[in-house]
Amino acid sequence: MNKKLILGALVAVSCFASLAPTAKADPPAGSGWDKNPDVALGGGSDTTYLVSQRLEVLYNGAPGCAITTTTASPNKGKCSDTTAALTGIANGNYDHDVLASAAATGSSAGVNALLSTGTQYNPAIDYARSSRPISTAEAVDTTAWGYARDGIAVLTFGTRTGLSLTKQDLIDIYTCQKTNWSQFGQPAGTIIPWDMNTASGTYASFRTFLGNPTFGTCVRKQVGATNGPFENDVKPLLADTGPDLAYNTADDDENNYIWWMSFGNWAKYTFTKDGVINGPGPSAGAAIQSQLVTVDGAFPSAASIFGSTYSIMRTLYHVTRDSDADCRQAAGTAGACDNTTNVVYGTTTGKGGAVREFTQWLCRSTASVQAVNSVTGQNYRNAIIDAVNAEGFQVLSTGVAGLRTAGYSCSVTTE
Amino acid sequence: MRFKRTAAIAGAAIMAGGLGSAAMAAGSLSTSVIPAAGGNTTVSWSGLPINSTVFIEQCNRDGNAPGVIFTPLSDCSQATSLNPSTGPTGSGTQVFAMFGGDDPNESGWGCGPNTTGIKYDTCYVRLVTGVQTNVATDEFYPVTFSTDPDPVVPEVPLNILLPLSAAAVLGGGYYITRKRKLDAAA
Repeated sequence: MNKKLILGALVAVSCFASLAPTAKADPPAGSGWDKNPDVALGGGSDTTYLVSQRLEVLYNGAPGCAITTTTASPNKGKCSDTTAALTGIANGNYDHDVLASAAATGSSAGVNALLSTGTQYNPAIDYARSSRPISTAEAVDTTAWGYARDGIAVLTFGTRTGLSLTKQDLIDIYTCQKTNWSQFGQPAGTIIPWDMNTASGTYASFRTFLGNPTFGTCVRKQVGATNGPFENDVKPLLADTGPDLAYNTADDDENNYIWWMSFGNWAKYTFTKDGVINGPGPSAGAAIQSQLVTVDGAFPSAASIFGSTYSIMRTLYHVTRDSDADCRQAAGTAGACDNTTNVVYGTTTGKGGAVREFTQWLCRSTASVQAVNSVTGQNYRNAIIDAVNAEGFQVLSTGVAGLRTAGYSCSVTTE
Repeated sequence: MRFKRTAAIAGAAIMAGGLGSAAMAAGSLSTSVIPAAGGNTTVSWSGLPINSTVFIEQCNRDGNAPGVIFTPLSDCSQATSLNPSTGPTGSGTQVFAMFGGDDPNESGWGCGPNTTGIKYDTCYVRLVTGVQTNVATDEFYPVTFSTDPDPVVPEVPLNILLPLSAAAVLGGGYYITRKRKLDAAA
């Protein structure tokens, strides 16, 4: 055979081979990674809005694959993997997915957006934030991953301090069976119990504690409003005139108010737990502080919430579509969790895969299986705990029996 | 008469001061030695803003010591953090349960000989008003952890305790002597 012809053929083959598209490598087996960075959005709870943002920022910066950085490459920003071998650690954020939180509309609105029969959010969300458990009906389509604990703090204001009430006392107040503070051994005054926005998980958590009574007509909404004030901010209450539309009269005496809010929020943000009376804005009226109430003999604190000894406890949830992230190996099917340790099951690509991997990162059981922040050197388990504590919440204690689902640092609710 | 009463009162006051904890700017502890497995100390405070919140936490360092880098979230445990009201007078007390050994909040550090992680032989009770992250006015009170089932509480150093006790004995003795002489004269 002509040697020149053979040599030319070989050169041609090698030229064509160098122009051929790079073979797509396999993603890490059995994962939500697809080596493409996805953007996924969460929405829902106001209580967990800030802690979710902290967690998302941590996750977005977690180490992962080596990415293509060539300016002119159409693949810049994607994993640069060309073989099955990983180019980075797989227990961080391998795809360098980006997660972000949409503005709060309440837990119920967020969870509803994930349901097959629900109404999607604006912008459309891929996971939800919730400060109350999912219902049986919601569990058909979703899985709730409880990653933090909070308490419902009951508040009085101004001079009404050091109060101690029972659950029955609160029922009597909110059903208007008892309407004067003198009935509780306090200086006399007409009790003004405030309502809350019904889409709020904090609203649901308090009502569940009381046994879901029907609130009486004495329960206050803001003047002209058809729904109660949004959760976790006392300023609208303090700024309200009351039905007589005049400030500083008996019907807006803040010393007679009672309300409730997230303890975590109360502990961390004086701007939302205190305010001024008689008008909005920081310069209007005299400053007034809220005071914590002892409920059934227990006072809310980080310690009593961490130890689950406070009276009104709740878990804070990251909620996913079953098909995206589940504790069942056959994701989306009914039944108890059948996971192996630290594994989350679900979809393998796209936004759903991104949600799956974020969930797995969030709920990894111990520091020994977590990645380390390549910038700060902090283990991500500790970073998650710090983020949760920074917003006044607690992680699920290993010292409280039955709190965590086996194999996770979270408590998992699924169909 | 006034001097006798004054001497007796001074003697009694010196004795009471010798038994109490060392006075701090705003607070004090009933005991600064905790069993290795954990235990309680009673925290007392005064002169704080009325009807406000005082946070009480267990921390692994004195954040006010020169050269110390202090981060409340990382260096103090949330597992035992309390937040009582300062009360209508700005004074009050609170029993504070301290852990011995590893921080239950999985921080990786702990207090005393039972620690398996990063061990601190001396930990601190931190008092701060308003918000937990306020590092401008917080105060720290040292605590050590003992495996002794009946730990001795070094409330006052001996070089102060001994002369104070001597003064109390002399004051009390003077009172008794004078009383006997007066009774004899009567």
